Amino acid sequence: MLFNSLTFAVFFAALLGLHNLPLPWRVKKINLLLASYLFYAAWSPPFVILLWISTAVDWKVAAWISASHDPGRRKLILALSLVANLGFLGYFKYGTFLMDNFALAARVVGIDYVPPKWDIVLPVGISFYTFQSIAYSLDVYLGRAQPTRHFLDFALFVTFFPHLVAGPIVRPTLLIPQFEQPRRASREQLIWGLALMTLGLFEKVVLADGFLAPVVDAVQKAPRNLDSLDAWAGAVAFSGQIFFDFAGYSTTAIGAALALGFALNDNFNFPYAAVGFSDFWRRWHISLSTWLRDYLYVPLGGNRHGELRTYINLMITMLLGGLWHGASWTFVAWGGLHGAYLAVERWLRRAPVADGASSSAGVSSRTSRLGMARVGGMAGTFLVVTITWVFFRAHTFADAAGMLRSMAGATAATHEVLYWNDVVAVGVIVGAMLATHWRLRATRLESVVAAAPTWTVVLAWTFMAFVLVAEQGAGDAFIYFKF
Amino acid sequence: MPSSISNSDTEWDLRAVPEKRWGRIGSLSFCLECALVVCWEIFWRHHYFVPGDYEDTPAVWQMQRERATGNATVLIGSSRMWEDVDLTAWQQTAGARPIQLAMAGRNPQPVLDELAADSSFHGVVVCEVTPYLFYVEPEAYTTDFIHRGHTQTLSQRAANRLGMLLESRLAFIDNETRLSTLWKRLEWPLRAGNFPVRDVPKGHEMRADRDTRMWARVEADPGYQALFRRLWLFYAGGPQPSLEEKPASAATAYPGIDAIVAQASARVATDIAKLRSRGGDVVFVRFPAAGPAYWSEARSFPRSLAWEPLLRKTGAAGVHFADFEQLQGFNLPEWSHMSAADAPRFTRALAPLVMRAVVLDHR
Repeated sequence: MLFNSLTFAVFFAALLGLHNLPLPWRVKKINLLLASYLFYAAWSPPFVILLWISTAVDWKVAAWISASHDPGRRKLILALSLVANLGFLGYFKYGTFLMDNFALAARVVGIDYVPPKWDIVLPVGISFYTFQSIAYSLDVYLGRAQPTRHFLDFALFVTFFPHLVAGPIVRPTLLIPQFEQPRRASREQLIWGLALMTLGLFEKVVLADGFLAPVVDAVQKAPRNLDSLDAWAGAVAFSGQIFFDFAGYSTTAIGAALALGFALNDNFNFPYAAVGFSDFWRRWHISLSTWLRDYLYVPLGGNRHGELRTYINLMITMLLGGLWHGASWTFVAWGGLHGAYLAVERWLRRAPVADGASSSAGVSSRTSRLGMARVGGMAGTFLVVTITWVFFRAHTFADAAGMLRSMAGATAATHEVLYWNDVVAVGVIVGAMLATHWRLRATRLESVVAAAPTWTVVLAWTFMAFVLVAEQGAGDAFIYFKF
Repeated sequence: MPSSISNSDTEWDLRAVPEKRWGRIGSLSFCLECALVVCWEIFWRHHYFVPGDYEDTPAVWQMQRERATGNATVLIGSSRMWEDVDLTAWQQTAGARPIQLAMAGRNPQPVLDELAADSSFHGVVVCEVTPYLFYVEPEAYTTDFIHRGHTQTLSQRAANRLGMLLESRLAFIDNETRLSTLWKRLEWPLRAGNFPVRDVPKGHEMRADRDTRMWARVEADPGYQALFRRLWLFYAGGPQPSLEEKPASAATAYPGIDAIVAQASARVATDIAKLRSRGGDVVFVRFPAAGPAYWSEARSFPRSLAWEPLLRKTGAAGVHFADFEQLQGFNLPEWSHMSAADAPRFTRALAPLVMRAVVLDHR
């Protein structure tokens, strides 16, 4: 079920009503669990079985690990969770990719191997709930947490519908305790949750789907030798589209959970205001980057084994992070490029800093130069991130190369596929997005709303809700559903 | 060691609600929103939009497709079949209400393939032939539309039903009133590679069972009508757009027309054979067009090189509007489709001809 569908509106209204009835807390949790299964089954009922298996395996694995004091046995039990979860992920998401690459490798050594047709549908959100489930077993294995005593709480943690299919990836230590005690949203939480849902859906339906996606699609479908204005407009539009699409989903999810009385973690923090790439990854898809840090980078050794190992660990983490997004070498390249940026940035930070700043005259001129440097840093980071998104969006390296050549103005005959209406819309929306990110980079949405006059909040909410209704929306799926 | 069942280390308490009078904000926003939506609805009702005019989506098409079983009469083709045939008038004339499966601007051949392959269907298929769309238009658009209809999730089916419920009550629920569409329709200078008319604007009104007629604005607004004429000249013109009636010949025909028609005919003949083996049949119909749209079509797809070989090679019956006086003289405001008032009259003239062709075919 999509958040931006009428089905969800009816589903959520009914659930909200049910959750606020004077029922025992256990019954309310069962309602939430059944509603979450219904939410997921609305796509494809058989895939609910995968959720059940993943839930059952990690519930037992964590209990067995906790009960065992034999390191070898604990490791073996953990392997069961990893094999089950990553096995599902590998089979459904990477099966075709692995077979194709195996055939390619076989051809290199002279064996003409034709892989069998692998016609498998990817279960929605499998990358998200498997990571969440694994986190539970790993937390118990690494001694970061003890297993919960209640299966219902654990099942609800894995399945809770706001985060189920596209995150935020929630830690067990954040969500499971919230299921322990009866919770009901206060009137303030309910209304603020609904306001957040409006904001998220406005970002998704109006900005991402209504105005930016058609531009991105037009450029993507066009011949490879595009006019450079079209290529840049398409690339910049995708930067905006993917942010509004995914941040819109996360904001809606956070709002939906809050309206029911639960708190989910932030997933975005004005990422295009980032100055540098480590800053970018502290602001973009925060729940994934922290998951990768805590469950991959740190266990690999992090920065504890010397410079070279740190760079290697960084690259492994980012390459696998790229692959998590999709079974294609273009995603790996996207992750690899971000890994390289992070490595270079780390290396540059270690270099001695010239003392020019301290010798310059006057504090105000120094502050002004610093401000300019920050704006330049942000613009530079956004530019490189946008260019790197080209690999993320392209189906093949040839497509990506064609797009990059067009952006560089290095193509001979060029096609103009966009209308001025498109170019202006992209300029206005992405310009406003960058200005907002920059203005709010050091604060939180909650603080901004708290400081704003009441009538501004009323007008802003009414405007977003009205534009959302007027745009109607075609129920397009979220980009991150396929990851 | 932190525990999963303890919330001492969690940050969920940090999901703070901004300090505001949220009750007042919520009520005010809700009231303002309702007022704006009412104004929006009134505005569009004054601009030709009406409730009960549905968006033609794969889901709506699929609902009709699922009814196409047994000995039903099924209408396929492109926008002329869709807009020019009035289902109620057909029902009054022929006795049973036909099922409308025509798709605007799409090649109907994949729909015929599908009906031929469906063993539960053994009725009559009335296939409208707009030459460019029937012979040349890529099939991928049709197959994609069909596929999306067939592969709906439970959630999409429910959303479609709910959407139709809203469309039955609200006029502003329409692709043409979406903000992004309104923005797209703003007339700005064109760039070198731009088409003169962007996408096909709204030209029809559709009921829940896909019974469709020309949209009132097309008939009433001369500027809007001119937009469509420009569009049809661009699309229907092919290589030989013609603003005046000129003779058609092999020299003016679409490049490779013989091979194109032969290929389409061979494929269609297979479908017809399958349908006939189950007691069904196919009748082709060439609908009226007027002015430059018709002249351009006639020059690019001359009757002797397109229509006649199709009937000859498939052995199917055909009704060409030019052969019947009762199928001529209708009002086609934008050259390609019939006015809403004339569609029932045209349908009452067409239905008996199609039924007679089927009877003759089966003798």
